[in-house]
Amino acid sequence: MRFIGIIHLLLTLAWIPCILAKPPSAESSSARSPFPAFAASVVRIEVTDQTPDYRSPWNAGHVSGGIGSGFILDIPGRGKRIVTNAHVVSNARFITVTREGVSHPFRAEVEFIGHDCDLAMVAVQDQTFFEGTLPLTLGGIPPLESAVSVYGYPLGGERISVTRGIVSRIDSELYTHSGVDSHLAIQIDAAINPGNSGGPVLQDGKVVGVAFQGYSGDVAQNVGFMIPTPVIKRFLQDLSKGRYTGYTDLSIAIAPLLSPTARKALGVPVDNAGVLVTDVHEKGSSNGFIHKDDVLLAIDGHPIACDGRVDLDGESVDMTEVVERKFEGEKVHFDVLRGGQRISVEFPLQGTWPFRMQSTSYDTAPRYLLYGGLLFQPLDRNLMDAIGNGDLRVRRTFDEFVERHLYLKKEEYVVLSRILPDPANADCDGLRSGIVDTINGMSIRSLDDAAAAFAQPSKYDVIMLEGIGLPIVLKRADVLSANPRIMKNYGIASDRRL
Amino acid sequence: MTAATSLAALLLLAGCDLTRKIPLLAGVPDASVLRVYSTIQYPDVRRPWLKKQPFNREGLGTIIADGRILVTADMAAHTTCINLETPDKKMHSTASVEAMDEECNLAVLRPSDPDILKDRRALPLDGALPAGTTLKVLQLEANGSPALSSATITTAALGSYPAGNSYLIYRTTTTIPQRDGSFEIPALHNDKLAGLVMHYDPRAQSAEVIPSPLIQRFLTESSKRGFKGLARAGIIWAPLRGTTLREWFGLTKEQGGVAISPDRKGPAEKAGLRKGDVILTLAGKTIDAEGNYEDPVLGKTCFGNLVSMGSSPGDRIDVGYFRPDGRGHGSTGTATLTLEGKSPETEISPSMLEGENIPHAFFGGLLFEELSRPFLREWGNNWPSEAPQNLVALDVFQNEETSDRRRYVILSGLLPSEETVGAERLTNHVVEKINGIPIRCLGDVAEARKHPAGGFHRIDLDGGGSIFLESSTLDSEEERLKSRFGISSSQSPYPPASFTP
Repeated sequence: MRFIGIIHLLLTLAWIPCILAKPPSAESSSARSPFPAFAASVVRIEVTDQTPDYRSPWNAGHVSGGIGSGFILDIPGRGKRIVTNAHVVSNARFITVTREGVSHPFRAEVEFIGHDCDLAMVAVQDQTFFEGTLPLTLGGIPPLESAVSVYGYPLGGERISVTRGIVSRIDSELYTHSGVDSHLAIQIDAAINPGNSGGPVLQDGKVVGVAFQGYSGDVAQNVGFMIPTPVIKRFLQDLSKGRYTGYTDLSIAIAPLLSPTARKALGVPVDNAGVLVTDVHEKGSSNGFIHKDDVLLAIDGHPIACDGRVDLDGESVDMTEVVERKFEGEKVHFDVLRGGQRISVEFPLQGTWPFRMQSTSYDTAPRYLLYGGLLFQPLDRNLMDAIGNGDLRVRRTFDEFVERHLYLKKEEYVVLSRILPDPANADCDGLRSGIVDTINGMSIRSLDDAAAAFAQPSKYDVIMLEGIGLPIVLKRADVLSANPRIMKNYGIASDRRL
Repeated sequence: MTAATSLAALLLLAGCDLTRKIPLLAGVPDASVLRVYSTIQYPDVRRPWLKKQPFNREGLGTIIADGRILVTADMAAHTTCINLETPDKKMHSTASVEAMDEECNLAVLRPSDPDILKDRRALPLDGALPAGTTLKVLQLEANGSPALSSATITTAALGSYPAGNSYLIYRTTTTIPQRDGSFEIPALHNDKLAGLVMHYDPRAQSAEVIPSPLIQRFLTESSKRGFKGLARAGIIWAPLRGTTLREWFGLTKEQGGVAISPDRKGPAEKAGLRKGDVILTLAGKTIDAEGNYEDPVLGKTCFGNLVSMGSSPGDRIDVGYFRPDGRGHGSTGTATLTLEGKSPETEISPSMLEGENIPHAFFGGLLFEELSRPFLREWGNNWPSEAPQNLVALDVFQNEETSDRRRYVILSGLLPSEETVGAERLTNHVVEKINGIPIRCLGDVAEARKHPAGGFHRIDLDGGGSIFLESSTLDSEEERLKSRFGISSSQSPYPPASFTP
C-alpha cells in the first residue's frame, strides 16, 4: 500500500491566524459558548520548531511555526496534562497553549514524547491554565458506523471547531510521523484539517481517539485517521515509570498462507489458519525461539487466521496487535508448527532495533564529521530524505538494511554525503556520494571509527568507498591547513558532532 | 562565398527548397540508395508468449559492395517484413537480413530480387574523418531526386549507442528537414559513405553518425563465421585525474593511465587484471589520464577504439598496467588479453535479448523469466528509478555477484488461481530454489520440476517467500490456466539454457 499524499495535519502556515482571527474580546465570554463543558478541555497549541538540516548538519536548522490541538487529561500521580500528537511538538523550541475561556497564551513544555506512536504529553507550569477545566476521560474502541465528533483548532482559528462523522474503518495503519511504525488506527469521515492534529475525537463525552493524519484531497475524500485509545493507553502506561520506552517487535517476517495448497503442503492441522515465518532477525526478540519455516498457529492463545489476523476484543486485527499492547520484557506465547510437530514457545519481547534506522528521527541534532571538506554522516532516514535518491548503492543499503540483514555486518553505515569544494579535495571531482568501506586501512563501522581513523598519524588519508575500486586520497598536510579555511569559508562553527 | 550567399537569398525569394540546390557530388548519390520499409514487431518481455503491436519504420539503405544494402540495426532488428524500393518507386523487392549487430547498430540486407540493383552503384566507404570535416546528409524527395544537407563533424569521440555500448560517433551540427518518415539516412563525404545517421535532434540541430571505420569493422567481422559482435576487452574504466592519488600510487604526471574494473569472466579478468589496476598502455599506445591515445587522423581518442575498431575478436593485445599495492607503491606488469566478441555467459543480466523468443517457463500458473536489461526497460526510459529496485540493483551490480549463478531467474508474473492466491506480492523476486534445487538459470527449472517432495512443489524466493503447488495436478493446472488466459502452448515450456555451461 502506498501512502503518497498522506499529510500531516500540523499547520505550518502560521500567518493564517493573523488574517482569520480577531483576538478574543470581552463580549465573547458573555455570549454563551454553544459547546458542551468539555470544550474548555480542548487546547490550542502554538509551536515554534526548528527542523535540523541534514544537508548542512552544522547549521542549527530551519525555524518555522505551527498550530495544533490537544486535550486535557488527569494523569495519575502527575496531575493535569495536555496530550497531543508527537508531530505537533517535535523539534519544538517554544510552545504556548490557549483554550476557550483563557485570555492569554501559557508557556508549555514537552514532558514525554513517543515518536513511534505519534503521541506527546505536554505540561503547563502555571496551573491557573487548568482552572475550571474538566479533564477528559478515555473511552474504548467505537463501533463501526457510530458517530464521533472531532474537536480542535483547524486552520489556525482562535475559536474551537467541531466536525462530525462516523467510524469508517478500524485497521492497522502506517503512522507517517516515523514512517515505519504501523499501529491500530481508526478511519473516520469527519472533516480533519491541518491544525486538528492532536485534538480529541469524542463519543458520548469520552475521548475515543486523537486526530492525527489524513489524505490530501487529491488522493481521497473524507478520509481522516485517529489514534485509538489502546494506543493512547499504552503510551500513558509506558511513561508512567518516568520515561517512554516505546514499542517492542517480534523482528520476524511472516507471509499469510492464503493458498490451501500451501497449508496442505506445510501440514497445517487447522482449516484456514496459520502464517509462515519467512525470516527471523538475528538481533530481535524471536531469534532462537522462532525459526524460518515455522507456521505460527496462535499467539497468546488467540488462533491466527491464514491472513495473519486474530480476534481481539471482538475486532479482527493483525496478530502483531497482541505484541503492540505489550511492553519491553513482557512475554509472548506462540503455538508453532515446526517440522510437523505442534510446539509451544514463549520468550520476552525487546525493542525495535534495527528498524529504527529506517524511521524518521526528531529532537536530535544530526551527527556528522567534516574532514578536508568531505562530509561523513551515518546512514539513516533523515539523511536519505535530505540527499534524495541519488546513489543506488546508498539507497539499496538503506532499503535492504533489515531485509538483507546488513545490520550484522555493520552497526552503522557511514556515508560520504557531500564534498565542499576546496583545493585540498580537488581530486574528488566527479564523486558525489557513497558508503565508506575503509579509511586508512581501517574498516569503518561507525562515525566514531571514521574520526579515529583520521586521528591516526599518516602522510595521506585514503578513503575507500564500497564498490568503487579507486580510493579517494588526500594529503594530510593539505587537509590540516584546509580545515580552518573550509570552516571559515562555508560558515561552519564545528567540524563534528559525533 | 558572396556568390553563394546571394544565390541563397535569390532562391529563398523564389520560394525554392535550398537544400536541393546544393551542387551535387560528382557521382549521382541517389543511384546508391534504396528506400527501405521495415515492419517491426518486438517480443513482449512481460508477456513472452505474445508479440507487441507491429509498426513501420522507413529509411534509406545504402548500396555497398557485393549487392548488399547497409542500414542501421534499428531498421532490421525484430523485423517481420522488409521492402526495398528504388528512389523513383518503380521497382520493389523484399529483403532479408544477412548480418546484424544491434550493439553497433548496423545491419546488412540482401534483396531477394537482384534486379533492383540494376543501374545502381555501390558506394565505397570513406576512412576516418577528423572533426571539422563537412559531410552531406542524403535524403530523397518524394519524386526521387536527392536532397542534400550539410553536416559538420564537431567531435569524433566515443559515445553511447542505443544498446548501451560505447563506440566511435561523429557528432555533427546540421539541419535536416523531415523527409522519408525518418532520419535513418546516409552521410556522404567525397562521393563515399562517411557514415549512417542514427539519431537526429531537431531542437539541438545535431545528428549522431555511425562512422565509416566502425562500419568497415562491422562488415569485416560480420562476414566471418560465428560472428558475435565486435571485439571487447571487458573493462570498465575511470579517468585518473587526481594528482594526490597519482602521487600516492607512485605514478608520475607523464605516465598517464586510467583505473579499471574488469568485467566478470571477461578477457581482462581472464588475463589477470584486477579492479583498481591502472592501464598505462594498450596495443603499444600510451594512454593518458583521460583514457585517450593519439590517433593519426582523429587526434586524441579513447583507447576503446583500439579494441572495438582496431581489432578482431580472438586478437591478442598487450596491456601495460600498474598495480597499486594500497600502501602508496605498486608494480608494473604486462597482461596479454585475448579479445572476445559478445559472450552471454559473462552477463548475469544480459544487456539485450538474443533472437525473437524470450526465454520463459510456466510452472503451473507461475511464469519464470531471466532478468535482463530489456526486462527492466519495460518500465520505460526512467527504468532505473521506476523498475523494482531490487532488480535494478541486481542488474547494475551484477559484476559483484559472488554465487555461481548464470542468470537471475525471476517470478515475473502469475496466472491467478486458488493455488497462487497471495503470491502476487512475490512477483519480481528472484527464484532461489525449486524443490531444494538451486536455480542458476532457466534451464534448471526443468530439472527441478522432476523432483517434487511429498506431493508438492516448493518454490523459494529471495527475501524468504515460498510458493507451494500440488505436483499431481501441476501439468493439468498449467494447461487449464493457459487455456483460460488464451496462452498458446505451442512454445516449448522450457527453452534450453541460452548457452552451454
